[in-house]
Amino acid sequence: MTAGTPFIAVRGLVKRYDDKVVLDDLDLTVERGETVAIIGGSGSGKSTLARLLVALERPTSGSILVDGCDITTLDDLELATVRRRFAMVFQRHALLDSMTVFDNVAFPLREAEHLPSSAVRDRVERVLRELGVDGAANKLPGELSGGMAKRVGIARAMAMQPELLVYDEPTSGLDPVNSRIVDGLIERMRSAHGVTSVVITHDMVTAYRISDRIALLAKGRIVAEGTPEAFLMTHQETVREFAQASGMDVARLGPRPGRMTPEEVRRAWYRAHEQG
Amino acid sequence: MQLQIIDVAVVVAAVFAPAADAVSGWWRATGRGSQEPKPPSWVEPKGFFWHVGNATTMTFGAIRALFRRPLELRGTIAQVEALGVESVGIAITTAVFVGMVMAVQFAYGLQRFGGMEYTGRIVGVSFSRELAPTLTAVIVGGRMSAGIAAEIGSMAVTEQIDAIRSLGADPLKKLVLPRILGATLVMPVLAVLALVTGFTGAMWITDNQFGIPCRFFYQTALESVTLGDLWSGLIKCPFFGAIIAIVGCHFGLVTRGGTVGVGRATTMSVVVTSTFILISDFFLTKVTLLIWPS
Repeated sequence: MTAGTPFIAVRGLVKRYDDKVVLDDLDLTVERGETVAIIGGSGSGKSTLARLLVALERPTSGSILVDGCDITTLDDLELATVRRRFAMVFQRHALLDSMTVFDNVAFPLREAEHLPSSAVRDRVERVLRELGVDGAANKLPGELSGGMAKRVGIARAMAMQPELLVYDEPTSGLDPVNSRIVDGLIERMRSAHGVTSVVITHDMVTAYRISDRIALLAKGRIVAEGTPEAFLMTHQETVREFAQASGMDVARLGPRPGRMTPEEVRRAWYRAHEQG
Repeated sequence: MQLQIIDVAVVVAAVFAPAADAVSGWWRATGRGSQEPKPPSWVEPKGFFWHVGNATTMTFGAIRALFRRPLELRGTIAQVEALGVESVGIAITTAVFVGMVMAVQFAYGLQRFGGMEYTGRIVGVSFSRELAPTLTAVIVGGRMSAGIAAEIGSMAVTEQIDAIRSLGADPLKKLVLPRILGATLVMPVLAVLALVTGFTGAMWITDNQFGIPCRFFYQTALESVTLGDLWSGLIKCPFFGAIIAIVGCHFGLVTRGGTVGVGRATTMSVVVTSTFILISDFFLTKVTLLIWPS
């Protein structure tokens, strides 16, 4: 890695399923420690991008550079090593339903890291405590509520101590209270552990609250990108249409430390949209 | 003639396996993503090659995983229990009744020609060479492969397979290998159980209904059944077990489309398992006849 090399650099990424083009010449950069929210409508290719980033799929063409190394050209063994640096929180949590919460969180430590059982126990207990689900350690995933399952999914990903954490629709299917709790957890993972995060979401409130940068994905490309504030104030038609269609309520926006106050954001939002 | 058929089978297998492997383009080590379109129908020519190619690649991947530590002993034992122990009841029940039906049919048929005393010999040979392994494989195999396809299919549509891969584990090692090993190990045991219980059922019914003493039935059967007969039946069982697990795992892994997809995968796995067991039975029988001629 050389100075100035971005942590993740996606260049000219194309993904096709048969004749259907899902991602078309997509470019994206993610700096180390940054939280980038990828927003977009259903079927815009958000989840496919997430899966390509954690090497669950291979692109049709283009490159994904991690610390300057193109992971799309790696063979299977090398890819397995690289994949251990990443973790993904799945949309439907994807907990292994034959295992308890404890065993789910311990799974990557036993399978990929081959840690001794005492180290596994210590790390799992610590992560579960941090996510506030230590009381559910012996439960099966089927016995958990949606919010708790999401937390366990985050705990399982965090147990791997990843450098990059990709969240696929972390707040989908959750009520507003649980959605904001998950937002808080994502923010805490970044601030406490310095994890680089890519959050795939269609929830504009989540994108605004937790990200350093928002990118709008449409028709397989990033069509707009910027800080949350700049993103909301833009006059770009596609962004405004998406923000309005998503039903985002600027009155619900909470504070973002070190940035514009919610009141300033609201005033700027109304000004920008009245002008439009 | 026998040699010619075997030669053709060997040539077909030699040409077919690499061709099928080449046709499959998707199962590299990263595997098939849950976002990819649903698989083609296996009854279409292109779809058939697609499925055979993918199942072949999956099997080679699982065999390669066998040589990577740690051994999946716990998973394999769990599968021996799930696939084997829980199939004992159905294997015994069907074997007993098939044995009784066989005995009744042969006894009636042979009675006309005054050859009823040959019932034990015929039932013994047919059960050990063919019925115990094949019938058990078809009946129990349907249950096993449907269970495997439903379980893995449900995991596929709920992204659990993707989760396993993203957590640094190999689904072929964690899911496919234990099931292939488990099914391969339990099938011979189930076939022996079916042989013993089916033969006992036949013995009991001929004694009660036709007055052939159990001792006579047993002794005449023992005189006719050679060790070669037993081996020629039992040697098929691991192949049947592998077919059951491979078909179940393959249709499970390629499941797309939610609960409807799981249902479709389950049905297809039962149909394909039964078909492949009977097709492979023909070729295996030819091979065993060469090794252990009657």
